[in-house]
Amino acid sequence: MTTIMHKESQSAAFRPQSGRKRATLEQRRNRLLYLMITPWIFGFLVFTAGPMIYSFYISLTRWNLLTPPRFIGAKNYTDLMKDPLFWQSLKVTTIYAFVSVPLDLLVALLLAILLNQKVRGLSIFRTILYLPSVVSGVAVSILFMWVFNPDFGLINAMLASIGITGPGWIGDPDWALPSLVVMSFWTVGGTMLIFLAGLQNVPVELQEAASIDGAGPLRKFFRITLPLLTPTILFNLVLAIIGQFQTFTQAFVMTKGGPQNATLFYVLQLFVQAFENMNMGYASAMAWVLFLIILVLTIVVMNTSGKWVFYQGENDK
Amino acid sequence: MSIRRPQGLTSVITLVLLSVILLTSCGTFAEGSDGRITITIHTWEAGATGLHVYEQAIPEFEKAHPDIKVEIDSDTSSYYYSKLLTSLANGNGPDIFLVFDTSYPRFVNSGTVLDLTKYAQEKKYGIDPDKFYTSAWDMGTFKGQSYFLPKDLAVQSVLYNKTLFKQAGIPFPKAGWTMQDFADAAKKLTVTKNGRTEQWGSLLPGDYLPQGLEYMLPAYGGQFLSPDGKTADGYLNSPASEKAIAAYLDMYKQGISPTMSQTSGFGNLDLFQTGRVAMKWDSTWSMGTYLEDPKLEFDSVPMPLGSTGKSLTTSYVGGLAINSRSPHTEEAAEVLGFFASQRWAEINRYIATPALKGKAAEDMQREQPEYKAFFDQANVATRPPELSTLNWGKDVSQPLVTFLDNMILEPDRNLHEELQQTVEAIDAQLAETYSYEG
Repeated sequence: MTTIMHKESQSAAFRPQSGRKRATLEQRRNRLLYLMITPWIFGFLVFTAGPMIYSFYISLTRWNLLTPPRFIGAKNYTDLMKDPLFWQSLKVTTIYAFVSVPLDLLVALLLAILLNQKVRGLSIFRTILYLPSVVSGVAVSILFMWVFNPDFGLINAMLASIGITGPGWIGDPDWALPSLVVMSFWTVGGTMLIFLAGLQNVPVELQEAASIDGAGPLRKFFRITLPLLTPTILFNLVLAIIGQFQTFTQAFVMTKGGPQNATLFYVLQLFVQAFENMNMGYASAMAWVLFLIILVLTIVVMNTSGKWVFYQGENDK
Repeated sequence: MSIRRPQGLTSVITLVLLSVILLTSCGTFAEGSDGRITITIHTWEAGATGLHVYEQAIPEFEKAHPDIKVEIDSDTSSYYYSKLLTSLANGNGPDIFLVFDTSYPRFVNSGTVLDLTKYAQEKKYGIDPDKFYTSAWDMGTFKGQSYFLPKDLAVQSVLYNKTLFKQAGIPFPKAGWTMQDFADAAKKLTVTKNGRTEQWGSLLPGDYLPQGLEYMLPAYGGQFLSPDGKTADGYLNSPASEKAIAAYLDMYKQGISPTMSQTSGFGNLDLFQTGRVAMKWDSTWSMGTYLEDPKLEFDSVPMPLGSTGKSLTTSYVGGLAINSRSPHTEEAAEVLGFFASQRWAEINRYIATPALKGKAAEDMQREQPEYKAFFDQANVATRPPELSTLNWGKDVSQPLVTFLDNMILEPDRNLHEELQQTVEAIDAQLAETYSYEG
């Protein structure tokens, strides 16, 4: 220990004069960084990359989990293309994602803006709005089965009081998916919180300067807040796309994919194939197709982000 | 600062090493430190009620068998297979586990489950087929060999709300009644006000095959598949089967039962318990709740007879099997023997009807006569069609459920054409499965 201390103090003493020494320090810092993240890299390799590679192999086999996998090449992938339930699940999931992602982001942003105001009892509002995100998905699903009850559920009771006969919600093939979109607003708390953090990073001096120049609240929002918030929007957008394409719990608990496969989400169908039909090879092929879809969408979003995402201080360099 | 960094390094290395040690130590624990052999049972019975029977039974078993320790691993049925199948696939499966009847053939075909025939022949550890209701034991038997011990008996009967029958002035149904009697009673018991149904005559099982079509087809002399389980053509679309399906769909057309859309709208609300339906085709699973409800006056009656005039019913089995790769198959068989005992039937009767004939079943019928119809039908339960083909879930059930959903929710569709398309879809799936696993 003393030797190390000695060396350390030496290097500290020489640092201002020597560029070579400085590079060594950077190298050491890098080394320290890699050491620090080793457990996570290790975890990633063991728990994510390893299983992914294995699942790719499995996707090229026919495997019922009880007998050894049998190599069948790309047959699972070609079978997928011919499977009406695969296309149905992809359709349901894509519609859900394309509708719920922008709506959820909008709702989360609006809530975050409200929570960024200086009003009394702010912490109470923040807690209330974030609370649903802490509740487990299964519990939320069961709660919403009651909210959506056509006869005496919350929504239809409210509609009835103003003379409107509400739809059958999750029991109606046309309304089931929209119902789940409505339900997704309930769990925007996490996204909202990230927006709130983003909003609080918007420098007050810019807002004040704009006010002095005569900008109104709307102008300030669209000219200052929103551009500075774009990195946060990008982050939330990517996370939301990934999350919504993997929707499972609501359909699993509330509708089991029905009625008439109107809520047959992709991951639900994958789960059914894997653990109910015992078609692990097929399910793995589905997982890889989903991975590619999400990957492509993420790349598209990231590549177009240069056009609409503004990073603060970007122009300084 | 200069001291901290090396410490940071040390702690990082320690962390990595620790995580490696932790991961590698997640192996299997074979024998307990006390020298007893541990037998693990994986069950889908979960929650306070489900596990209570095991908590009562296991200490009794362990007391009588001091060399064996029994451990229960439990997951709710929705997630049960995901864990069981993965643990079997990686070779760490439990010694004893429950299997859904839909996958019996695959578990047998793959050699995953131990052949229990020799124990059954020798009546070793009390594993004695004669003690069981014949239909229950036979479901676990394939080509003369037995693999699954029936955990309990779950046949289907009609439950009816006595209060609603009295209000409508209809006599209570009796064994030997026909589908026509059932439909007539259901029609009278359906109450509509301003075009809105306030009470349905019965709750039918919708697209849930084990309770719906699996009763209707045999009741009208129809069949799902060929005896070898490889085709539906000529069976599911035979005139008798089509007649059975038409009779089933007709009851929906008459509006005597809520559709699946209507029931799912009610969420977890029990339509029978709350008097929204006057009858219900059901097994014994909800009986405990119904019997505890002082406001609900009800009874059970055997299934109404179809056009064959034969008394029959459907059944569902949860079978206990021994992992053929268990290092302790003999001890596992000893544990399995306990599930073939009257004592188990007595303990378990609070959550399920015994598959064993004898005292527990008799006590149950005497103390709770509402169960009588279930026991009366125990020996006329048909062998579930799930057992006749390799991958019932994917090949037969999934296309049929889609067919039923379409037909019930859009009654104007052409039954004959839709059925023909369904049969073709099923046959394509069956051919695919058998080309790989047959």
